Amino acid sequence: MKRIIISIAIIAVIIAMGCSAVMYIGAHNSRLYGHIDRVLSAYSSNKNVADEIESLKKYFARYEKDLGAVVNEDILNDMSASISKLLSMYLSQSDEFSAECEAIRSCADRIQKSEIPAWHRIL
Amino acid sequence: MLIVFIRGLVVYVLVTFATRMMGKRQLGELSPSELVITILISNIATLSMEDPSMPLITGVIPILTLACLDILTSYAALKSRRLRHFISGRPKVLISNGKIDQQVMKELRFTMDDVCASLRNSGVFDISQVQYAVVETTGTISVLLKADYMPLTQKTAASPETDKNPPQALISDGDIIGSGMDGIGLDEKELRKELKRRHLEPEEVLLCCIDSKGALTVIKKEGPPAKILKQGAKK
Repeated sequence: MKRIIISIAIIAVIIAMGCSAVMYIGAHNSRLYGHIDRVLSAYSSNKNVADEIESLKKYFARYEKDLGAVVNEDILNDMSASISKLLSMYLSQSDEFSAECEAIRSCADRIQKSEIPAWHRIL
Repeated sequence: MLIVFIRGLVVYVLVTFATRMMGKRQLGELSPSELVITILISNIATLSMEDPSMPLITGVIPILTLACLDILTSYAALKSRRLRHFISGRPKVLISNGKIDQQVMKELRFTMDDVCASLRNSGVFDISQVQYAVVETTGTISVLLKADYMPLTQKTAASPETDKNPPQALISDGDIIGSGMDGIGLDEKELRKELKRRHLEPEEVLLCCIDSKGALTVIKKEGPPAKILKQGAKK
């Protein structure tokens, strides 16, 4: 009987962990989106862009560390590569700066969506 | 390199815990469902150890889920005979009264070579010595030799036994087993009547067996110590 209780407890913990992981990723993502929005608005007004990119980089270091335990490393590597390109793109006045920011946002969005149970992902 | 080593340590602890949690059933012969779980756990453990790009948690969660489901399914199977048969299958009588049931051989996809090899594994080299053989759910064959080939005991020395099949279970855990009544000349109605005569309902019976002479052995549920009644049954 003890094993049955332990098993039910473990399954309950796994389900709770799954639900909290979705919320945890959601909370991290909304902070990341805030940083991206700040970078984009700084870019459009051409003020403190380098500082905002630096702040985004710092936040992403924490994001990567926190989400590394639950998210596949490949997608985080893609985001990291995009973020490290931002400063040089800004300095070279690249047209794709905003697109790169949106790519980071899209990756973060994909991370969160991949954690939400849906038939098309399960099957 | 160190990460893979540490992951290996974690997975080792986890798999040991999961196997221990699943219980001693894993250490002996494996039933089909246990075999599947064992293979799955070993595969998942290997994947999560080998690939550092995958979070370890993606290996930990399926291992724990499988172990927990195995325990819960075993518990449910303990309570339900139908589920137990669905998960583990039923033992099949391969040889009865010294005669091979070829239909069962076909069902199990057993060749004669398989049967002979399994019998040799049980220490029987001549199939004509076998009175009764059952293919267990684990795939092993349990054999009862004919009386002439049984080892001599004090009882058989005093009164030699004749060839007979082992007792058939009629009730197990309070459930009447329909298949146990095939070919013994006793139907469910008569069995209930016989139990009523002993002031018992089938639900109160842990095990009820009938031997080849028609004698019933009834073991009651609960009641420490289990009361064992043995009487000749009306055929």
